[in-house]
Amino acid sequence: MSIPKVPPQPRPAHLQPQPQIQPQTQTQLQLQLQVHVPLGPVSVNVLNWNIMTPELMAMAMGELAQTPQEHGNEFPLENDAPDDAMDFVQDALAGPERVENLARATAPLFHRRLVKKSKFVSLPLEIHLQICEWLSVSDILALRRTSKDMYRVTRSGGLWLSALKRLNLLLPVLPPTSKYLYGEIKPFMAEYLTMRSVYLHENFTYRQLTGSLVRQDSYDQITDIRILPGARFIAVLTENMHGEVYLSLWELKLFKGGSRLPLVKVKMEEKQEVFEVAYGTAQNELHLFIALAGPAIQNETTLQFMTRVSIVGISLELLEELADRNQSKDSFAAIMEECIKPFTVLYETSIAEKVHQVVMCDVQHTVLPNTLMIALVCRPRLIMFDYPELRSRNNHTGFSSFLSLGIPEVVNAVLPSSIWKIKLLPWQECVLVSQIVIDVNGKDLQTVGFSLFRLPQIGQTVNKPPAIQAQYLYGLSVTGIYFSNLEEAWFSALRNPDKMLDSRFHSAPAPLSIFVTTKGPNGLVHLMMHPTAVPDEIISVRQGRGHVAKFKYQFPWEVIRRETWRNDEMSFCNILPGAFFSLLILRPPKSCALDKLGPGTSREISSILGYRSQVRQYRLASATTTGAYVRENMEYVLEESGYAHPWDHPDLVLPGDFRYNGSPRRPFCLSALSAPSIDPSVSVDFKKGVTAIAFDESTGILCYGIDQDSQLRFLDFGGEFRDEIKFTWIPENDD
Amino acid sequence: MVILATSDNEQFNVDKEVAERSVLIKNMLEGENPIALAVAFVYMKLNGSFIRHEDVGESDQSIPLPNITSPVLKKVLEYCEHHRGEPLPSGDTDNADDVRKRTTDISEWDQKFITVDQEMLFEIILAANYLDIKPLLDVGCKTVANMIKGKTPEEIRKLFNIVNDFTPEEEAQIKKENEWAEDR
Repeated sequence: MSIPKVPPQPRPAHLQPQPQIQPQTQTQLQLQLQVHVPLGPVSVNVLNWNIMTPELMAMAMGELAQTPQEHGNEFPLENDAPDDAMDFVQDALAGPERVENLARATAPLFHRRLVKKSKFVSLPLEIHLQICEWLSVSDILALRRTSKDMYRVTRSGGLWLSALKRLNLLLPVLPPTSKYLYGEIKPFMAEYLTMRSVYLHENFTYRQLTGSLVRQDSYDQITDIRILPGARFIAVLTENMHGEVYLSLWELKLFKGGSRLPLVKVKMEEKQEVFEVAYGTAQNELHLFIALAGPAIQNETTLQFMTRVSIVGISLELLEELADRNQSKDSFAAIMEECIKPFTVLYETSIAEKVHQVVMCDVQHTVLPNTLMIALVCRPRLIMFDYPELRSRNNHTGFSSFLSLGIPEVVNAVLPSSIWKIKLLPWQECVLVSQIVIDVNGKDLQTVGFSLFRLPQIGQTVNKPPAIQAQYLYGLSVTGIYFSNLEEAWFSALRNPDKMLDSRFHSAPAPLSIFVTTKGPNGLVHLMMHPTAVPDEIISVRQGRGHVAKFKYQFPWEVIRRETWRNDEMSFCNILPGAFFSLLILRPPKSCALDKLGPGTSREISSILGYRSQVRQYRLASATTTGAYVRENMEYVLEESGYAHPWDHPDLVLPGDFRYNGSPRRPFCLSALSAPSIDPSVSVDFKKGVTAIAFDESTGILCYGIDQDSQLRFLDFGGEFRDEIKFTWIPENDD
Repeated sequence: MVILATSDNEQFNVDKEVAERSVLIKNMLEGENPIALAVAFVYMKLNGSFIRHEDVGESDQSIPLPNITSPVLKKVLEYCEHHRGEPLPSGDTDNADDVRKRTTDISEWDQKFITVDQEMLFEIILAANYLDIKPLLDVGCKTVANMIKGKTPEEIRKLFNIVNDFTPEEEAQIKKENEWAEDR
């Protein structure tokens, strides 16, 4: 072998090891370093330079030479590699400038290795990954098909994780209340998630599920639907002609031709205004929880208005058992008999306030065990409890909870205040609450505050002031507070507060934005946005293992839209979950608009729907980058423009509240969107009214109920993807 | 001035400011690099004298760049010379902003600069990676990515001289997996 340009060194007569020089001083000892020396495409990881002897070096080189397979087969020292390596390393190390010589000597070795047939393939993995960062998904897939080496490269989990992150900036991929925070995504899942969202974005179609028509008891009207995550079970509220309300649970796959009977059907005592379902853990067992709240009813003796709240649960095990039995075509009667009381009433109470919203969240708590957290938003109070709390409190007569925020500590107790929005942050043991104070001294001044409370241990109550607080004062009345839902921003913001201070972050798209709509005199309407709900200044960071210390918020509000609407028109908007700058502005009774804020700049707003159609119901989702809304056909709206609709609440943001009270048989149109475009990609026209819709983010299944003859129908937006893409995972070592 | 020695034993006298576009060299000159320290130590052992590691950069000692040939280094230095004085990118590239700003657009000068044959292109990428010159590495990788973009697997094979080592069955299998992404 020739080593160019290295003057041949006289080989020493003896190859005994050099007398090892012991580290003499403390300085030397301190500087003993385990180094990782990049030597071109491969690295020698074994060198401790302070005790480096030619022997060790040679050994390292020998190791290097013995592992060519990992890096390609054209290592020049294939046969007698160790010996050769020894020789020339020792040659190189013979002279006084040994290290330099070694470097020179080894250079052609590595250099030559690179001269292969395909130089591209022999690039180190590191470089391949860097190149792939600039490629689209389809290009990466094309690259995958070129050769086995490239196949291996493009199976790297890290590559897809990075691709997913890039994609998520363009299309919201991850569900808003996602467990799939980046850190938790398994590398192999990253590829799946990326593919899935790209696929759905590119091939946005739907299909009607076969045999999806289901006939319940005739003339029931479906008033509300919820699909449980995963779209296996759905919960339906129906009301028959006598005004009786039923809650039923169905298994979706049964609609594919099996029995069309509900798994469970129970009669409710009253009409239910709030209806939420969630999977949750209780006693280490997965349950299906259903929260129900009725209207405020006047008590005949006390004349007080009371709202009845109940939370019922059914263990998933029982539900699956029922599903199995249902499949084996046992008679309906038998099942009904079995499940006459299938639900365990976990909690039941009457409270004086109207319940506006129920939030349920399965919290994987570090303080509490994995449990279901329930929050009742009943202005002005916020009541929170968890499942163990439920059990222990159930025997008590009085209502109690560990967090009951009536009047925020920040505000003088004389002032009435109200809870507007709440968000449970499951990873953080916190709850984010927005509050407003109305009618300060009789003036139209309002204080809006956001508070972040840390959840206490079981049995304790929150008596500490919130960890985060912010307040503003406007001479405007606040009509709504909205959060965009990408919660992982909170996650990272709270975990790495230092990063958030980086000014560069602020120019990035705001993952969690807070929007506020206000109303001034003469119908002046402002839409204000805070671009990033991250702290501007940190007074003290990290106390123990807590991540929430004292943050100082400044909340530079930006007015992003200012309009004058007629005073008598109500207006409200909603941020589409996950679709970060998207915005739905509804202006009932005559008009509505589905608007989109331009990504990045956040100031371009494009109207998609004309102001002449009415959005009845909507469900929007981000996991499949799709959403859907139902609107009436324009002709009808034009014709019936004088129609008054009970839009009497500015807080009608819950889709379930969009009840349709009109007569049946009206033309409706259901449209589905695929983010980031808000143009409807799919439109279905019905002759009959749609009374309720539900959308499951995780599967892309949309379920809707048709007026009058109580049909449930399903559109499956994710089905083709599920059917067509069969991934075979190969175990991988990287990442 | 800094002296850089290539693998073919050519020496380049470079302004410190230019050479410091390379984070590797910069760290070396600042004495923070383990290799620089190691070099200093080996010298110390040989000569029995202690060289302060600050001396490594200041002395006439050349910095050996064993992976880089002189034509490549010449090219790399051309890039560094042109971009001297520009702020160095921070080491942290993992924030949303950076990801977002990423486009495969290359500035005009860089475009012209990187118009070289494939062999040279890969050498520049490897050199930029070794010397830790992130902007140059990005330019190189973007260029390669742009070459790949929109091509079929067969075209990519031809482009980079890649041998198809899949069996027909394997190829069919992978093709099937990715079929939906085909016609775009």
